[in-house]
This record gives sequence, structure tokens and C-alpha cells, in this order.
Amino acid sequence: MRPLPSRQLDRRIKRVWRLSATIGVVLWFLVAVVLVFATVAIVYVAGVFEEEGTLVPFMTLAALFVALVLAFIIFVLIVPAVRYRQWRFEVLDEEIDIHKGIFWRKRIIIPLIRVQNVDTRQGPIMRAFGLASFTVSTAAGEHVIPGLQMEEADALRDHVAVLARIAQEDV
Amino acid sequence: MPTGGIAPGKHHIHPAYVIKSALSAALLILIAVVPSVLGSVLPSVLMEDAEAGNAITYIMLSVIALFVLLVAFLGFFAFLSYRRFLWEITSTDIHIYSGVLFKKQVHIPFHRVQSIDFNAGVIDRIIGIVRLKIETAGGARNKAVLIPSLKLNEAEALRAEVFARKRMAAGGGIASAAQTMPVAPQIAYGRPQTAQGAGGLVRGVESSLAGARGMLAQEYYEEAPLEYEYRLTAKELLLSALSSDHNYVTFLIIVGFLSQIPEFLGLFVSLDGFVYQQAFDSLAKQAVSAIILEVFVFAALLFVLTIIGTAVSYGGFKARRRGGRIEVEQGLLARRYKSVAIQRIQSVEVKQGFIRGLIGYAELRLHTIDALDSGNEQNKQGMSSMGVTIHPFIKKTRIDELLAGLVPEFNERPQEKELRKLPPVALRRTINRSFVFPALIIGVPLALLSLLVIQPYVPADFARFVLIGMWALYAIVGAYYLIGAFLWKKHSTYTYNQRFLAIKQGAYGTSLLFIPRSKIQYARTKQSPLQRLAKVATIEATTAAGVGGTHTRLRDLRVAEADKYLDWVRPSLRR
Repeated sequence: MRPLPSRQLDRRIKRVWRLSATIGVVLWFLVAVVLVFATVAIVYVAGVFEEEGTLVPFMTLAALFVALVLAFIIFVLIVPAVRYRQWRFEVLDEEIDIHKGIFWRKRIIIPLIRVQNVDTRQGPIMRAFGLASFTVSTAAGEHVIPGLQMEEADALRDHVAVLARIAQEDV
Repeated sequence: MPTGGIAPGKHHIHPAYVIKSALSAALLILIAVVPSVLGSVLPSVLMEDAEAGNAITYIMLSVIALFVLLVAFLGFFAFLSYRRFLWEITSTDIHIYSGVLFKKQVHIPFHRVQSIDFNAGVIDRIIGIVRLKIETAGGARNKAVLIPSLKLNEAEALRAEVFARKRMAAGGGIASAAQTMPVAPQIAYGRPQTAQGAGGLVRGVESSLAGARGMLAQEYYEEAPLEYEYRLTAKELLLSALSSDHNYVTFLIIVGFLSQIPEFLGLFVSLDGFVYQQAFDSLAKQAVSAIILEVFVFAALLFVLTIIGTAVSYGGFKARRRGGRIEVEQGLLARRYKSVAIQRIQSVEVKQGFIRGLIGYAELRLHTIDALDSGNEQNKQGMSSMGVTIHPFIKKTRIDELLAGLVPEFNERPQEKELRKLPPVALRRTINRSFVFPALIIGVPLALLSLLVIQPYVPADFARFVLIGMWALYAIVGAYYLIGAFLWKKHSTYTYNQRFLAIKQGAYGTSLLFIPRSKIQYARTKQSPLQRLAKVATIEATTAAGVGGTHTRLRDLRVAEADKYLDWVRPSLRR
């Protein structure tokens, strides 16, 4: 087996992933809680629980909390770590080599002469950490290298742009 | 000005556009409105209520008045859009002005134009007009521009002019209509010149079609020399219709459905009780056989119709190469003209249905970068390429010859005997994937259903019928997929040489794809956890074919082989 590409992403990307995963998990949790409360309210108005015990809503909430903790462990603690460990890339003279994937491991080769566009992007979270993502577009879709230092992403973009200039646009 | 030249200045489209759009709008409204009106009116008519009858007359009159008004309005709107629609060829671009409420101007520089295609429905062909579609270069988000009605010779002149100017622009010269227009007509457009393998019948149809250029006929001469042309012979046309898999599948489904009817009816007759059975028996049998006969005739008719349909759509099929482009014309009634620039071709496909595979014939397709039609952007986004058929029915031994004539760029492709097999573990995995897992997922609930529901609760007679039917179907479908898995392993092969990747796969029907390395936008290998256990990987090549790209993948190569494939794509390892 060919050795993996040499470079890893910036370590801070793990924090970015964790932060956005936390936001996602919390949002889903809030939606679920609101749904539970709405259901409980409706059911109480309809008066179904009057003769029975009223444990059901609490059980549901407890189950939701367990789900929250599990989701937190999986999506905030484990997934970003595994993703970071698997993410490798290398920009060679004539191609970009990427290895990534948590369950499905992918190895991608993008010849630079097929690259039509390169750009760097920064979301608000990324900006807070001083990171940027680097995107190359071909005639059949784009590829993103997500966590790079801002200066490095810019340097990479300029480097690849020079090489990509010889690409045929009229595919 | 030589024949077919385009005068400077803005041009209108052909006025038949107004009538055509008004008519088609009227037809649409009729189809939408008539059933509902009839539905609400008919009951009272049938009851012969005098008072209601009066009311109905009024309603009908007002509906008709409304309809006429609506059609008149749409006709007026079409007239306005006709008035507003102008096209012009300037020294650098095609300009198109359109829009009634929202005005629109499109400028297409010549060097961006990739192809100009025509389409003509039956009515269009009688009048002698075409719809013209201009495709431009670009990635996933480019749209095609339509000019809805042009005289055929005008459209041809426009196409020739644009391509002449495109060439001039590429050569750095300044184009003018008069200079670039053809002087010495070499080949008459649409006339049979090289009749390679043209059969009597089709040739006859061909020439008469070439003559039937509509009421506005004018001769136009194409400039670029013809390099290769192929026509479908009558025999090939007929056989291609007869060997199309889905025609038979439709037929088989209908017949299979029918064969169930006697048992079903017989069952209900017997369930109805013993008293009537004697009396019913003979009667029912007659009725059943009558029904079967009817539906059988219906199925046969449908079969013949689909065959005629295929024949009509491929009738007068021609493919030719001229001046770096491939042009395909087809259709007996509605005529389609499609042209593709060679450099837009992403791959060549040899496609074999089950029946065609048995008799040694195949269909040839080119996959190209497609543009979206303006107007319906959403539905085609992300759709993989269907390709352009360059031969619907070719003997396998003649493929080399045809491709050498039409796309000599693909001459160095690997031969079929060079294709390499997948490792034995691929067979086990495909049996699991397409047979064992689905069989369990469907079989377990079915077993539960039969044991827990059907056995205890359904009357024994009926239950036996249902159970046998259900499990027989299960076994047949299962066998189909099991055999399919073996066939998939047998057919799935790949190879690559200096310039081309070849991937063949498929179970009952196969597809052999040749992808030039220079057209691979990016390459991928992929491993699922199970594949990691089996030490195999999926390889993938992505080209720009279709809208937004097409992935071609082959499962379960050995990991080392998959790595070698990636190395083959790497430009840095090429030397």
C-alpha cells in the first residue's frame, strides 16, 4: 500500500469541528425537548394521563438526556478525533492527493491541470480560530481541504492557481 | 451574398411560432379542462332535466367563451414575445433579445459556443421550421439558449456562420459573413453521399426525407468536408427494435400477470360455495379464456406498437463526422439533429442489453458534457449523462471499424481481451450484497407474515394460494439476483493502458466504458469497513460528462491494484 499523504490539517480544526458539532447537537436536543413538551401539553389538555401515572413525559425526557450524552460522545468527542486522524493531504507538483473518511476511507487524486478554480473560504467559527478552507473546483465538482492556517491557505491558493492556469477551460 | 448567408442586423424568429404556441396552449387547456367540465355536466344531461339543461347551455357557452378568450390572450402574448424575440450576429457574439414583461438580453461570444442542435416536431417539419439550441462551454452551471422557431436553412446558416467565426476567432482573424461563407459546395446537406451499408428501404426513406424540407425549403450547402458517415440499414433498424430489452419486459409482465387470472378467478368461484360451482364452472372458464385472449391480443398489440415506436424514433438514423464534430440525426416523424464537438466527448460506451448480448450486437454511445435547457434547470442538475447514441444496433465485430471512422481519437483504447478480472473475493461480496442480505431483509418479514398472520387467520384454501404465490415469487426474484451476482462477477472487468481506462460491468446487460485519462477530472478509491476486512477497494473515475459530472465506479479490486490505478492517474508518475 502506498504511504498516506504527508500533511495533516491544523490541529485547531478539531476545535472548530467540536464547536460546530456541539451547536448542532444542542440545537437538535432543543428541538426534541420542545416537541416533547408540546406533545405533553397537548396530551394533558386532552386528559389522557389523568387516571394513569404521569411518569411517561419524565421517562421521555430522561431518554432524551441519554441520547444527548451519547450524541455528544459520538459527534463531539469521537468523530472529530477520528476524522482528524484520517485526514491527510499533499499538494504535489502536478496533483493534489487527499486521504479522508471515518468509515468509508477515500483516497482522491486531483490532477492540477484539471483544476478550474481555486479559492479560500472562511466561516465565522473558522475566522475566530484563524483558519481557512481551501477549495479546488474541477469541471465535475469541488474538493475542500478544511482546516489550514489562513496564510497557508492563501499561499496554497496562489501556488495552485499558477499551476491551474494551464488547465483547459473548454472541457 | 452566397446561399444561406446571414444578413447583418437583428432578425425575427419565424412567425409560425405564434400559431404554434397558441395551438399548443389551447391543446393543453383542452386536455386539462374537458374531462372536468364533462364530469360535472354529463350527469344532468343524462337525467334529461329541462331546467338543468338550460343552465348547462349557459355554462357551456361561458366555458367556451372563456376558453376562446384565454387562447386569444395566450396567442396575443405569444405574438408579443414573437415581436420581442430578436437575434443578431455581431462581429464577436450572438445576441438574443427576448421577454415581454421582463426583458432579457443574452450575449454569447462565439468562442464559448460548443454546439448548436436542432429539434423538429411533426408540425415543425410540415412547416419547415426547427427549434435551435445553443450550448455553451462551462462547468456544471451553464444553460443552453433556445431560439424557438427558425427556418431550417436559416438555422443551418446560423450554425455554419457561428462555427466559421469560432474557427476564425481561434485563428486570430476577423470574420465577416461574406468571407467565411462556403463558396464551393462539396456536399449537399441531408443528401445521401456515402451510403455505407444503406439498405434499399431506409435509403428510400432518407432521400424522400431530405427532399421533404417543409414548405419553406431552400437548399443550403455545408462547408466542412465530410470525413465519415454512417446510416442505419432497414435490417438494423428492425432488429434493433426487436432486440430492445424493455419491450420484452413490458410484454412479459403483462403476460405473466395474465397467467394468474384463471387461478384467481377459479379460486373465487370455488370460495363462493359449492352450490353455484357446477353452474358457474363452465361459464367462468369461458369468460376467463375470453379475457385472457383479449389481454393477450392487447399485450401483443402493445408490443408491436413499442417496436414501431422504436423504429420511428431511430428511423433515418445517421451519424457523421465533419470538421471536428460528430453529428447525429434521427427520427422518422419528429426529427432530431444533435452535434457534439470532439473535445467535449468524455467517454465512449458499448452497451449491451441481455437480448442484444445473446445475438452479438451492441449499442454505441458517446458521453458528453451537457448543458441545461434554460427554464428547467432543477430537474437535470446532478443527473448523470445519458449520452448520445451514435449507433443503436451494431454487430460487435464492426464496432472497431465504426469507432475508427467516427472517433479515431479512441483508436488506442484497450482491446476487450485485455480486460482483467476481479479477485475471487469479489464474487463472495457481490453474492452477499445483491443476494444474501436482500434475501434476509425481505425473507424474514415474509416468513413472519406467513407464520403469524396468513397461516392462522386466512382460510386454508386461500392461504395456500397466497403462500405458494408469494414464496414462488420470492424464489424467482432470488434466483434472478443470485444468477445476476455470478454474471456480475463474470462481466466486471477493467484495464488501462497508456491513454485509456476501460471498465466493463453489468449482470444481464453490460456496459463497457472507455474513458481517456485526459478526461478524468479526479480519481478516487474507496473502502468500506467490510472491504477493509476483505482487502479490496472500489475505484472511481469522475468525468465532466452529463450535468455536473459523472462517476464511474468498479467495486472490489485488490487494494494493491486500486493503488496502482490511482498511480496511473497521477500526472507526476506518468513519465
